[in-house]
Amino acid sequence: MVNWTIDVIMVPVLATLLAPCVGTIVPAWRRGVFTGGHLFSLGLALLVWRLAPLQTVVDMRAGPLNVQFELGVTNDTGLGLVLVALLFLVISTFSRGYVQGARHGAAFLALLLLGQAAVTLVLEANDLFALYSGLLVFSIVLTSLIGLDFAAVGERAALRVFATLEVPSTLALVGFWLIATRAGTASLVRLSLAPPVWSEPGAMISFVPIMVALLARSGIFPVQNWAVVGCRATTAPTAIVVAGVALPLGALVLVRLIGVILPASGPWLTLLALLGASTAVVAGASALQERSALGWLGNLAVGQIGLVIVGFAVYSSGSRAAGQLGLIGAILGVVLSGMGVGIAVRAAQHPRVAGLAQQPMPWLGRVALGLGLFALVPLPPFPGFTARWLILVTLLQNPAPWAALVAVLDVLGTLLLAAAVWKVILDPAEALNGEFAAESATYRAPPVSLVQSSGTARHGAKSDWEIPSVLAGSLIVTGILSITQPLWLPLPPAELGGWAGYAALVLLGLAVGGGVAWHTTVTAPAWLNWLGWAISWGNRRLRLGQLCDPYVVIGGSLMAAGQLSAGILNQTLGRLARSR
Amino acid sequence: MPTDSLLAAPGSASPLAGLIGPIIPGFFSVDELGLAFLVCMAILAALLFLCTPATTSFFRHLVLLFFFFTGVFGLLTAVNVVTFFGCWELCSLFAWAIGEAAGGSDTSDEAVIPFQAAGALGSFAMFFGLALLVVNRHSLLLGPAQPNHLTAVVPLLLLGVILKTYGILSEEWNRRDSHGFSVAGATLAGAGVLAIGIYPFFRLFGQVLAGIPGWREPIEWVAAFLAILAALAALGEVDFRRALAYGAFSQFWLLILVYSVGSQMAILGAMIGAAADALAFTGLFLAISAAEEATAQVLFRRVGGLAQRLPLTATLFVVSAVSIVGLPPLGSFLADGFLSLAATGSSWLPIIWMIVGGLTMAYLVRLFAALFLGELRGPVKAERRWSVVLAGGGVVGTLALLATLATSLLALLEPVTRSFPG
Repeated sequence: MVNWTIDVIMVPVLATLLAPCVGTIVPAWRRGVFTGGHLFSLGLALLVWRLAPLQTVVDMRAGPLNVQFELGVTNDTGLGLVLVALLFLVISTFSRGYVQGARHGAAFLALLLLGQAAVTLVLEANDLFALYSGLLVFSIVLTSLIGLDFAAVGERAALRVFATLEVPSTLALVGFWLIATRAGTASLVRLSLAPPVWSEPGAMISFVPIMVALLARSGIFPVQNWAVVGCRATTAPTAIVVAGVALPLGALVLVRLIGVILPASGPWLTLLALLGASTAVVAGASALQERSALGWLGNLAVGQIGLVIVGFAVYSSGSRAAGQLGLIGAILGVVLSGMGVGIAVRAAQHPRVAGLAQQPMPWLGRVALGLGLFALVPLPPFPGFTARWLILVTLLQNPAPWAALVAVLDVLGTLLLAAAVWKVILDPAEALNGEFAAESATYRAPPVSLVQSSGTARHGAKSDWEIPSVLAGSLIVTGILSITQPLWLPLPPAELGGWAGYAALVLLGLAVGGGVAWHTTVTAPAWLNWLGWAISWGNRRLRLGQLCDPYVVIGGSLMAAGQLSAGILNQTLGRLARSR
Repeated sequence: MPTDSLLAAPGSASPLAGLIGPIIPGFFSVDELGLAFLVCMAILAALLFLCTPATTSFFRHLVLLFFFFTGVFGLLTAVNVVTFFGCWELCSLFAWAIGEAAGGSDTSDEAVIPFQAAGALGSFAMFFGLALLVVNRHSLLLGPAQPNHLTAVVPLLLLGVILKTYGILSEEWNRRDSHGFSVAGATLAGAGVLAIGIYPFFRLFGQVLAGIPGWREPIEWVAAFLAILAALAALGEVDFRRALAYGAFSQFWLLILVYSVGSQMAILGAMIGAAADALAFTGLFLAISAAEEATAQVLFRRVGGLAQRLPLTATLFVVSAVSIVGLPPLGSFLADGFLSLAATGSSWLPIIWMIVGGLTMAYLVRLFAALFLGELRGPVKAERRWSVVLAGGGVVGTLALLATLATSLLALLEPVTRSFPG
């Protein structure tokens, strides 16, 4: 019997397994299997969306054992599945230029398919353990994608990403077990109907690790650096997966668990809103001083997700809509910018931010970069603009002092993130002050070691950079979806000052965007450079980045404690064991 | 969720129950606890025997493994203090020999009589502990002890288990000149710890001392301390074999801690967890042994990037590692279910569980990143694919099937947990 909810997960996995077999027989068809797998998954996702709602209980009953995993597809989930399938199809197609001729190209594409299966499992998961399983598999995929370049920097980044995501998650898994045991169920639906698990005595033991794990997954301050480090260390396609898929997925899971195993009201939501807004401020400041293009993308994604979390944490109907819109806007903006930045990095043959927008690159790359950057600023009519507007309206209507503080941080974060975007658009190549020339002279490999480390050896460096037509189609579709957002997701016009006001803002946004696009050789305003320099100087002097980084602080302390413990065991029991 | 229905249904009997009964009355007999361990040992033995053709000295390993598992069979079926101690020593002796065989040592530290201070002290402690037990019970048969004059028995038996377990684990990180593929680590950390450390503890502290008051709390403290210390040591260690051995030692103490709680759920969780961990550590040690063979290195700073050349080994490592963490449907998932039931009534067990779980994930991540990611450092031999596929397939398949197998194990163990006094 056909079970669509499971099939939509299994198809990418089967394609992953099928590709090496086909590749062994007919090597030329291997890539077709990957593309076919993505296309078939997309078709299946569309079918599942049409058939929704669907519900499946995977029963691990074996004799007296009865362990159940619940998977379900609602109309919203179905739409999510389609978007995920589309997103991975676009990323996989975009990756073609990176993996052609690369020794690990097939592994890279296979990992993307596995990643799609894991994300699908997370979206369909209706119980805590299926959710955990999907997230763990996705983390393994992410780590492998980052570490696949087999460079020292990739190893460190992969270690950091996996440790930051999964060590707290292991603690959270214990919390899941405790909750499931107390409530008698791990089903998200039944947990949401049961008495609140967080109000029970001793619930803090479960609640705190789950909270930390979810904040880490969403890249919320102070656990946000893994995303930036992961993006910085890797290739553009992987950076897109980290910034455009992993971070939004973390936010989605966090939001989904609010009201289920996390309180839907009270001081912790206020704290979450403050942390979200602070994340935007910190990420904006970091993006301004960031020198790596992909690191800059990671910072922007972190900031966007911070603002999205504010929308969900404020917890009114308007702000929730803002959160959803912001999430869609962030995904669109980050993925488009990521592709544009990838193409620009490739064209510029250097990984720095400065001067990227001025690089000669294919018109499609320029369109992608432009659309993505304007979506991230955010200019109207992109969804991000509407989302910020709604959040601000909700915050200003709230008389509580914390709301004013969140509003201030929200605006500051938005301004800093916008400044970081403008800096990239306006900053000319000369801003590198001669570094560019020096780097170009000695330049051997772009941050695309996947190609260079092995592909060069076997096939020679690729000078051409072709963008497949599928990418063009998806760019156009995404652009249209963004621009027509008020039509497919109408919002209360009153909160936006009426349709006339909104239309005026859209026109203004288009004018500003168009003006900037026509004058890309304009020198960056001095204050933008000064701002970046000041933040960088302050960070260097005060070491705020390191002091506020739990990976450095806790990881370093644990390693020191580990060395001490190893010394104790080696000098006591170990000495005894060595005596012969 | 399922935890409310995890227990075996009343009246359900294991299909293996027919194997229970005496072999040599008064000396060797198969009971439920022994049979559950025998099933696990049979699986581990099959896996390890399949791996022996890939080792540097096939016949040597084959013979030593044969004698080791013969000793294990004796130990698991022993009902008499003398046969129990004799088989325990025999197992330890052959575990020591397997460790030495991996070292390829025809060298100076090989002697006529094997001696290792930790193991020898462990033997003495166990010997005196069992002797005092015989005095207490006025019988050579293993059975519930009387609550008189037992002050020294508990620390002596515990010391015996600690020293012997650490002793056999330390044999894995012997200095080796050849760095060939070996089943030593897999045998010692999987079947070895299960037979020489966990089973004696379960048997002695479950069947014999369960009704004696006062020992649980001190052992819980010791177990919690050592579980955290060993997990931290695994994180800070510079030799990857030693790091994993400390990891096995940490999991061993976590299981002891859970078992010491004494509830039915805790005992079942510890037993299923012991089987799952033994399989997972067998897989992990096979993977790092393949890594050691390929690189001829054992220090973290001298290895890296092995996933390029050893992709199947890296996959085996990942699957075994996620099994330890408790990813469904792999083995430890069910153990975690029981553990959560045991932890519900405790204020400190969830915290220790979280700390050890977090540290376990941390050192496994560090091991994976250091061994398999990053730059290749030095020459690396090609992967022996069929051996790894065979061993990996066996480990992974068994881990995945453990959920099904656990049904029979549960049906078998459920009466054991009820029969333990206290």
